Amino acid sequence: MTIRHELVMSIILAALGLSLITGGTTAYFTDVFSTDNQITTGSLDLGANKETIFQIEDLVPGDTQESRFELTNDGSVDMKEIILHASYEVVDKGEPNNGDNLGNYILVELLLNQDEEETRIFEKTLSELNDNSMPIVESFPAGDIAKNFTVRLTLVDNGEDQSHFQEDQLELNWEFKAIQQDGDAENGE
Amino acid sequence: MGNKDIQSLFKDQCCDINLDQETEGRVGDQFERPPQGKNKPRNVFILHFFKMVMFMYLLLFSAGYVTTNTAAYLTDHQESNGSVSIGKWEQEDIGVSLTGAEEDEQAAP
Repeated sequence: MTIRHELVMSIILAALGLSLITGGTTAYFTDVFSTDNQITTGSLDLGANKETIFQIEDLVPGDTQESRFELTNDGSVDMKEIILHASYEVVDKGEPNNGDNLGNYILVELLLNQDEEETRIFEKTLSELNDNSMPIVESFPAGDIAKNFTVRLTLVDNGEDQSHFQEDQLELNWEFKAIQQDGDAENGE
Repeated sequence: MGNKDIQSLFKDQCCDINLDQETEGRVGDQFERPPQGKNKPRNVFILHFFKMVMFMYLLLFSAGYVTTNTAAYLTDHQESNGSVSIGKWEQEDIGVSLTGAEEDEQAAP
């Protein structure tokens, strides 16, 4: 081993010794505390007190019949809105209608009953409502009281002969779609 | 169209060609081709521009894709049915009613 190598080795050993002397200990205290976390997703559950809203018989021109129903938010998530999709089918039982749509003469009025007040949500004919989504509730928080609605159906008397509608039948299908409130980015503590 | 006609046509258009003479190789070889490098800067510019556009598109698409919120949401449905049946009524007879003046006129001799 040359003098140069010995010198280098000495310097390395000296540095190592110095570092061992001056370096701090790496020992440290530790403690562990574990928490049990639980995350549950909310549920969106729209309830209705009736499966059949209307069961109206023997309607004649000029008649108005009304029916009541209520919607509830049975879930744990606030609803942003409830949308009504309405559709209908005419069963032409009596004289042939010859293209005259009975839906054009059935006027539907939907009212929201709240705090002993009636608020009209819309007034449209069945044909206007058909496949035309209508928002009927804006904001329905979870745990809120039920929303009471009144539906009025009127067979409009157009002043002309409407005898071809006699004994006809309307099959209505109303679908209420509830949409959740937008997510809150800073929910929880 | 004869050779003379073709010759005169080419003479008018761009260049001189003699179809009477036998030529070696293809006829097209006689034309002078533009130098290959002449359109190069323009093509390179288009290529770079295209790359820039693609890069910007991908950048914006990726940024939007990563940063926007999900559109998923909870919904619930409730269906209700109903039926409305139209009644039956007697048809009114369509008659002609006369006004008082018309009745007086008819009653007069």
